Amino acid sequence: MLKSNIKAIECYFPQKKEYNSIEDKLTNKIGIYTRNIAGEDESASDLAFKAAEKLFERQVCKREEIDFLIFCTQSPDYLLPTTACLLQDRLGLSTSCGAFDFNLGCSGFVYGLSLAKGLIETGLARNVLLLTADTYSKYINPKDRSVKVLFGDAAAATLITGVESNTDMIGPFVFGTDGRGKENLIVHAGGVREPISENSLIESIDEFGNVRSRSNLYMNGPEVFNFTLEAVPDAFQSLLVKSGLLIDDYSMFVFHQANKYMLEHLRKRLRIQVGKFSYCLQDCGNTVSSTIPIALKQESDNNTISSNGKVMLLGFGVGYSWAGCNILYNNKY
Amino acid sequence: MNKQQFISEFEENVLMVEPGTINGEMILEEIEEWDSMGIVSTLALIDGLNVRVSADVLNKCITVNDIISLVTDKLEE
Repeated sequence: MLKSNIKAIECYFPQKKEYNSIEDKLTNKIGIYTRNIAGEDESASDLAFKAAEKLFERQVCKREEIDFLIFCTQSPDYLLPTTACLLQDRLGLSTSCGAFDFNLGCSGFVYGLSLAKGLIETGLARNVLLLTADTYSKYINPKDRSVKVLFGDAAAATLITGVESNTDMIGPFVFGTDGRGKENLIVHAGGVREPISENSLIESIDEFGNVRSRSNLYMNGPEVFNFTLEAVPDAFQSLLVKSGLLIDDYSMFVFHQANKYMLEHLRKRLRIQVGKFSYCLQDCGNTVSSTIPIALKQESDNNTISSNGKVMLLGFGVGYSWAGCNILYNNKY
Repeated sequence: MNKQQFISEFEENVLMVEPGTINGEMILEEIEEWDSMGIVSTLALIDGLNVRVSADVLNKCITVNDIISLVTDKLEE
């Protein structure tokens, strides 16, 4: 049977860096010291293009072999056309290649894997290029510390390939959605519901001294944290049950890298041992849909996942939206 | 965990201030270290006692004692 498998991952970080002060107590708490910020003329698709080019330079796959391109972003180049179409052309992919965007944040990578699995295991595609990229920095008001110190810009390119096997290498999955959380992580203006106007550029100051307008990113940190405390343990348990596995059966847990404080609280609550829990945000921050592939690449490079080990991926955030899945680690990324 | 231990945890993990600097009567708004991350850390602290409240409930707390009253049932004498 044809089964989907992650064959390779490459990441790209924009060159400009911003630093969180090491003297600030908050920095140690969130565990983020450096963040990469896209240049003024650099878009998420530019970052995704560079991550994909790194994959092709490694010669893990020829351009003409890619028969599906999926791009996950919340910072598209245009309202239309679809950014994935621009990337197909720019990357020199075949015109017989399928391509589309999907708009998800921190749960996006796991959703992307489910789409790739569906395409491959139903015989619709053989080599899926999953690109994740975001430039939240363009939405963040420089005077809003509640989000500025957390988010970094980055992209990841993941090649998912069909191989003959009797073993599932991606899956099972659990998904979740609760749109009641929409107001807690949002850019209000700039879409069709609330086009950019003079009003949407007016800045106001909140009770903690953070400044933002309706065209800026707003996050209600405490409510998002509360959501995480509800959704993540439930999704985690559901995936264990669906997989028929125990915590000890896993080699590694790679969760969305929101911030160190939240991750550490979740890790303790779920009783996962430190050595099996991935932390990869110190030098890049929360990179939205790219945190999981970036962490997977790091763990793979550091040889911390045992060969043929099971890895649990769990993404959660804006929407609210969440998703988890298992992968079998059977080749270096 | 008793009330004094709760305050110690609140000092160490929520406000990150020296032990003994906080008492129950203190007004949260007047504590320099009380910010949105402080609210997040308080949610984590009381989640450890299996208590879940909305951020709004926490926002309405005026003093440290108001926070403690949310978890009184879970604290030892």
